[in-house]
Amino acid sequence: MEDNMLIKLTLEAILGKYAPDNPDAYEVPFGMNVGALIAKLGIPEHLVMFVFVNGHMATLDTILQDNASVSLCPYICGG
Amino acid sequence: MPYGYNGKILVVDLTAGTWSVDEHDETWYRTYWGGGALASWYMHKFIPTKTDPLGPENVLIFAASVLCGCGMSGFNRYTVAAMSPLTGGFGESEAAGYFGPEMKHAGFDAVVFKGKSSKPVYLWINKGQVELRPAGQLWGMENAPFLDAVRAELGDKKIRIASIGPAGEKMSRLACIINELAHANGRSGMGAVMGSKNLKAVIVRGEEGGIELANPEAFKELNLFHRKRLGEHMPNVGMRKFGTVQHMMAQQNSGILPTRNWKDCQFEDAAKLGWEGYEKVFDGNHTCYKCTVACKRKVNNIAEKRYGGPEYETLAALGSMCGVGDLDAVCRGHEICNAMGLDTVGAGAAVAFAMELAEKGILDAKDMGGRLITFGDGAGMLELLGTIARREGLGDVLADGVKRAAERIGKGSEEYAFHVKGQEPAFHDPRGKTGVGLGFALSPTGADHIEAPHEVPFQGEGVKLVNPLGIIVAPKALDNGPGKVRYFIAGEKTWAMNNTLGICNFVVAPLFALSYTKLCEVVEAVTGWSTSLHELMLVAERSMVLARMFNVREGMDSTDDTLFRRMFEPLPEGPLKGTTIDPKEFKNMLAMYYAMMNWNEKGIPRAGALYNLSLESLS
Repeated sequence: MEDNMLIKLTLEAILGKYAPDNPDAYEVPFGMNVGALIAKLGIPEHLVMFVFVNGHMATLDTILQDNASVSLCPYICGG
Repeated sequence: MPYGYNGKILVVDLTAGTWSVDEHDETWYRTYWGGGALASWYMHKFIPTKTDPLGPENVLIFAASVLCGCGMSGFNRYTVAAMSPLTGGFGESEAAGYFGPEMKHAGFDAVVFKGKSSKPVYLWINKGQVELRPAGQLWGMENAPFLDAVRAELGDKKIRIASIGPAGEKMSRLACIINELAHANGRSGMGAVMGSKNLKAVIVRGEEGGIELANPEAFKELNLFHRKRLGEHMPNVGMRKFGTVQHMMAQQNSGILPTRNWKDCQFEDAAKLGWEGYEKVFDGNHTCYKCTVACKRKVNNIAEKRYGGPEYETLAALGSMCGVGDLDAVCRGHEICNAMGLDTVGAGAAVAFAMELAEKGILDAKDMGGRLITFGDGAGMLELLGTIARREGLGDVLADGVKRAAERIGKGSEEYAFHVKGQEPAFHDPRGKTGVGLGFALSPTGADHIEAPHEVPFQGEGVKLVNPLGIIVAPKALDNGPGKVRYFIAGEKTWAMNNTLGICNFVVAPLFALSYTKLCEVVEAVTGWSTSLHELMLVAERSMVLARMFNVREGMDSTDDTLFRRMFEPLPEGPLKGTTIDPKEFKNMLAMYYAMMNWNEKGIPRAGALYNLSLESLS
């Protein structure tokens, strides 16, 4: 579809269970941001610690571009 | 003139009821900076070897830092240190809240207590004026009524208070110090040491306007930058929204949620304690001095809301560890601990220990005050917390921690007493992240979970966050090789740096918003000292070695660096079922650590390590 684009997803560690069938070519709407992507994947926001987009730390408001490489890391550490 | 710090440390002789002021030069401050390092200097100097931690010869230190109270989000932590009544070695515990900055603004970088008062007292520092005031009429009060009483007595609502409750007065070795009712110097039994000195509280009131900065304009810009970053950096956004409650389901989903005294690693009621359950009782954010992260929680299901809501460690301590899935009971237990001045981690571990002894038939109903209290009994958990705080019945035995309790109970109970060096661990399972095992074993205070950032977030692209520390290859959670030890040492130094500089782990790299480059700029804006990550890592290592050398002089060595029985047994269920720590591999990791740190085979820093850190006086 014209209004959609493809991104490459990596879901680290325990987030792996939320991986879609086609993580290497996952279709999302143009202009989608990171927060909306997390919701689309069905991941409760409190399980995600940070996201890298094209190798850079993203914010929830970061807008995804076509062919973006997106890596999500779960919340688990100490303290 | 000094910038960022006062150049004055108050030394109080409680036996004589007198005080004096120590003034150190800039070289001293730039060597020790604050926190545990500053406290260690006094501990090495004043505490006799092999003394009784609860005797008058122990020395109790409240130490801020050269940066504490500068007004930057998260730069508000202080340390309380003394010989630990749990381990007989180095004891320290950090807290945030409001006390540290106010102590600085009141004129002192640290307060050192020697001796023991003949009667209950509290110390009142009012804008540089010092007074020891009688506290006999206040002795026995829980923390909230005490706070209200001294505010009325001193006629000032802006005072800041670090106090002990009845548990500290009765010298429970699990007693903590609470500031402003919701911020705890929890670990190491510092509340017991305070109680042993008949010291009910330290109360401070500072000058308006804070501390003098070297470069106020640069600081203002950095502060604005930091605040903006905290508002968008994802880990900080998550911390603001969910606090550490996030850990509960993360641990459960990873298969490493400490449950029923470490017997299990999956808790069927975890979701009730995690954010989905917690959100129902969430009553807003709570924060520390000038911090926009606001990770602390308020809850609506307790009577005295100022005690705040439980964080992850407490949810696990009083929840999964006791098999209690009733969030109302866990919140009530947290309220009891803050009111009575009990460390939720140690107290929860002691209750879980007793519950397992009841299941094994080692304790019977009579031992437990009339009825058997086993896993899942929320009312029983609350009952035991009360008896520990008041030192009644079985509570009197548990109040000394699980190691000493097992020695008194006997009957094989030591098989279920889980501790390192005498201190109960907080609730992170090294079988799912071996770096945490190194932290438990090597922490100078006994088992401690915040020795180094846990390695799990640095998988995949997350390794970029630790690249500035020289870690180029991501350490896998279950690795036991030199890469893991290298990572652990780098991480350990960053958190030792935070403890020494009085910075919250939740605002600074590697995980959180402030980069190391910006941190160095903040140091210069506050103190005028041009610095580098290299210098800050040296400061951190110095604090680690000072603490280690305190334990060395108390007779500890590599034989004390170990884990507890269940860590060497397979995880019984869940996604990591069957995973365990191999004792030989773990010993090998420790040997690599000693070698990398330039410590000898017995875990004692070599002369070269001491010289390198300007600690030749300890060689």
